Amino acid sequence: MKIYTVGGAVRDRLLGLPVADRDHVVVGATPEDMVSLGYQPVGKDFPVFLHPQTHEEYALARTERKSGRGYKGFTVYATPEVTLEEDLRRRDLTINAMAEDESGTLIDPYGGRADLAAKVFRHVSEAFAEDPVRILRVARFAARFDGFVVAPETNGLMRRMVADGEVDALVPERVWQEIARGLMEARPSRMFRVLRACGALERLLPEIDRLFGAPQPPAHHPEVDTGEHVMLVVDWAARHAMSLPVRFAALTHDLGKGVTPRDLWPRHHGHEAKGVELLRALCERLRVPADCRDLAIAVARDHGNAHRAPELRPGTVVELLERVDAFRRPERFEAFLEACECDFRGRPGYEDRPFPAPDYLRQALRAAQAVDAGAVALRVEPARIREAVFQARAQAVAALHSHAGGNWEHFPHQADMGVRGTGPTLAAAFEQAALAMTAVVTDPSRVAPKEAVDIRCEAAGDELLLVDWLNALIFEMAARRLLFGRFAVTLDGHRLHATAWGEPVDPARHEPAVEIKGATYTELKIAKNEAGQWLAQCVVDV
Amino acid sequence: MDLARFKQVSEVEWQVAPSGRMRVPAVIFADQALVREMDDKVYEQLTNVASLPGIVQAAYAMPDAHWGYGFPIGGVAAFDADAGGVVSAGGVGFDISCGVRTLHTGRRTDEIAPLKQRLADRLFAHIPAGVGSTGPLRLNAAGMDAMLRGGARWAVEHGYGSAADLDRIEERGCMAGADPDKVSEQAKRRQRDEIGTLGSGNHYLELQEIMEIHDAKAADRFRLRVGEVVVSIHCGSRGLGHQIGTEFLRQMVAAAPSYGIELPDRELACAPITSPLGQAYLGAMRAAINCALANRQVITHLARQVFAELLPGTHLTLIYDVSHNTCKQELHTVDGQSRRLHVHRKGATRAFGPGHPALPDDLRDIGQPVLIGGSMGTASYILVGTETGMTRAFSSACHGAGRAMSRHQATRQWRGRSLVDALASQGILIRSPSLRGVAEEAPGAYKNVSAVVEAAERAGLARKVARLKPLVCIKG
Repeated sequence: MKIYTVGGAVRDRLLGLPVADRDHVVVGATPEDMVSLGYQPVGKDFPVFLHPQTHEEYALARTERKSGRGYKGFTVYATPEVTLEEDLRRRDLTINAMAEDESGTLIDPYGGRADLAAKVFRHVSEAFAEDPVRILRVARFAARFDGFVVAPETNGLMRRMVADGEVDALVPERVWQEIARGLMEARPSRMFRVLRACGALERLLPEIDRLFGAPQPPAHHPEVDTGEHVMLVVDWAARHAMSLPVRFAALTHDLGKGVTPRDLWPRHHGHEAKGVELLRALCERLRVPADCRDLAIAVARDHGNAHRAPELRPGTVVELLERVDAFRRPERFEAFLEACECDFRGRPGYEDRPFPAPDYLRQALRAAQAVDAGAVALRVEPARIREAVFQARAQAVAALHSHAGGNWEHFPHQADMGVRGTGPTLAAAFEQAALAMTAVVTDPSRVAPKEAVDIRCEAAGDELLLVDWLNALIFEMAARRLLFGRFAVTLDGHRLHATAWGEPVDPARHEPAVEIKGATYTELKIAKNEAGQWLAQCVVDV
Repeated sequence: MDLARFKQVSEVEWQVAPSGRMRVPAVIFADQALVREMDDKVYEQLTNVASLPGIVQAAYAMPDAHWGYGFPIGGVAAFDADAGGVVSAGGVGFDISCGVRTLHTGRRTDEIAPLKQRLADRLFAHIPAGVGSTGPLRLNAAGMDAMLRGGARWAVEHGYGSAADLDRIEERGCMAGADPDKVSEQAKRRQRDEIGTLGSGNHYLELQEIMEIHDAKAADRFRLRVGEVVVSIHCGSRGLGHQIGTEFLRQMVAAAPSYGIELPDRELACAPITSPLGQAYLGAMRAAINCALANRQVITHLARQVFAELLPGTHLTLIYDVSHNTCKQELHTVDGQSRRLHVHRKGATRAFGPGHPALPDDLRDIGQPVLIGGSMGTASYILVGTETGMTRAFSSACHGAGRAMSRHQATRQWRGRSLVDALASQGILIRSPSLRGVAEEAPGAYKNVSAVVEAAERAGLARKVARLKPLVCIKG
């Protein structure tokens, strides 16, 4: 008898990847030979043994023949006469059909090494068609191995298998298992692209397949296509090592956009509610585990609200927190926020924009949690407790808006005006100074947050950074004819990254008093007072 | 301001001898009352200016001086490039070449009176004013550069006005040495559709009646007669100038230490005239001057269109166009020697006296018209440059009343609506997109312009020719 290392171990070694599991094929032996050598029999459908010391898998060389639909209908022949080449021939891809003998010599009868070098997934033989799970495996490999493409003949074979109805016979648990594993790979999008190219996606996940070709408004989605957006979202989730539930939620958050009537494109009003129905059916069909399902439903239903959170009324924010069960399941709330962030960032140009919604929702949750529900309950009749607790929480969230962010004011300068912002952090003081600047022109509360502008600047110090920040806003206001009413600033040393929300100047509604020419170094000051409040101020020229 | 800090040289001249870092004296031209009302910051800023490298003769403040950025507004300072002199973005200001032009209508008040409401409404509708407004032109990159090189001459070449206008504009309507390549893309983007817009704040277009003639000879040469109506336009280089000011101020703040310049105030940021940064700024600033000249020329054209529609046969002829936020290279006699100096005028008007070669032929013997803007309800003045002025503050005079009160205080004291009503009862029609803007610009928030002009005349900076009263004010 002869023992060979086969499959993934050989492939990964040639790729220079760490080898996790080592599978072996034994040629010229009977099950009895193996048992007599101390190997432990484990295979139910075919003869596989565990090594007495290493516990690695040793399988007798075998051939398989298809005897029915689906992946279970096989007849197995495992006799001492089966050769290594025959065993390798039943495998899916050439890159997985290589072996190494005990001296390290490579046995590569089907050109696996060349395909590895060319980064091609190519089936070994027509026997590939006997197991439809292999389509999912190829797709999953695509998600794992960077730069590999499916050989045209293999794609053609997979298309024929799909046309023959092979994938329709796959059991749901197996489909979910492969999809879940693919989602945990480095580039999940490539799995869905391979499945789509052979037509399998339409059979297995028609809800995802339909997203390709459904346009979204370019103003918010530079990538336009919903399918492309979802691919960016799952890849962003993978790149940031998100959990399986978060990745699944990322994949399924926009299902509703696939059923928008074409005449309404590129708008998708109410896609969240429609998406939830589709998602429930999908989870039922594939027997998706409860943790993945529940998070995905919450994200599909409320991702839009989460993005808009800083603009929502306090009561609406509390409703959102209740709906996603944030009070009882804070860890799932975190996962919810992660999935929403994947959605936000899965757009070209949004990868590192400030996204204040998660921090705002966390703050809102903390404020609402601080409400003593027991004490509130004692003050009202039993029938009104729920309502009273809700109101108290809404008030706590409302207080966040008026205090935590700080304050702004104007101070006099003979010809022009001084703007001053204060806040618990330097970033908050910068936001408030910007509000004070808007207030030189109009009442900031009259400015609706309809458009977001990304702003970055860097300076040699905090004071210079304040001037640069205000001047960057002045430029955007002037060049785009916008007014800004809301700001989210993040500071990293003397680097500023911010989003400013606003709308075009409407003279009738905003009654703009003056246009601002520039922020100046006059009366420029950054300071922190005894109460720990930051102050940021300078004079603006009008 | 404490008068004890000055040596009083005359009734209208106050001096601070050099001390500490000051290289030259600081001089304020104003009467006692005006000096007393000035903010202490004017003293601080003027003495800071006197400490800058290469400053020549003295740092001057005009009678309307008030607290500005680095330089006081109403400040004049000249620098010699060969003596390490500097150019300062703050010494020019954000609104580069902001200025005033005044045009004759050739019509008497009684001819205008029946049409006053309609003129006010049509001018307000036709001339873009206020935050977010856009002008009649959209400039592409080549058009932008041509405008920045050509100034008012470019506008005339494009059908906005006539060649005769150019004679009555400083630099003959086109500032030499403008370098559009030194103007950033951001600055150009801010300007793309702002040519032909008034802007906001204290900018305006007014119809004014000539109320009084103080100097019959000069008035005759300027063709000013009591009871006739003129149009005055006050605005500047718009977003382009603001962005250039912002960007070069930033660069000069960062670069000053590398030139060994110590800044008592960051806003005084400057660079040696001969340095690459100094030259780049001068190229960009001159482009902004052209932008302002083109802007006022296009607005003039828009005003002419309205008059042609409502009062056919009216010819608006340009009396003069002055800029009051500039740095210009000029020849001046210092201690008997003729020197080429870079004269910063920040909120100050050039006021060349009789015989100056830069004046158009038909005004050379009388001197340059100096246009002093008012503030809605109050008078404007036309002065003329004098011989003595050329030896005082490098031929400079005041530019307007100057604020006496901050915008903040003004909005607390006045309401736009009642102000508009009160002025209407005095026969002054206000049209503005913003009532709050009107309140901030309330006439009461400014110093008494008559006192300022009086002081300028007594100091010999310029001589009063005529007093004007507003009839209609289109406010940005």
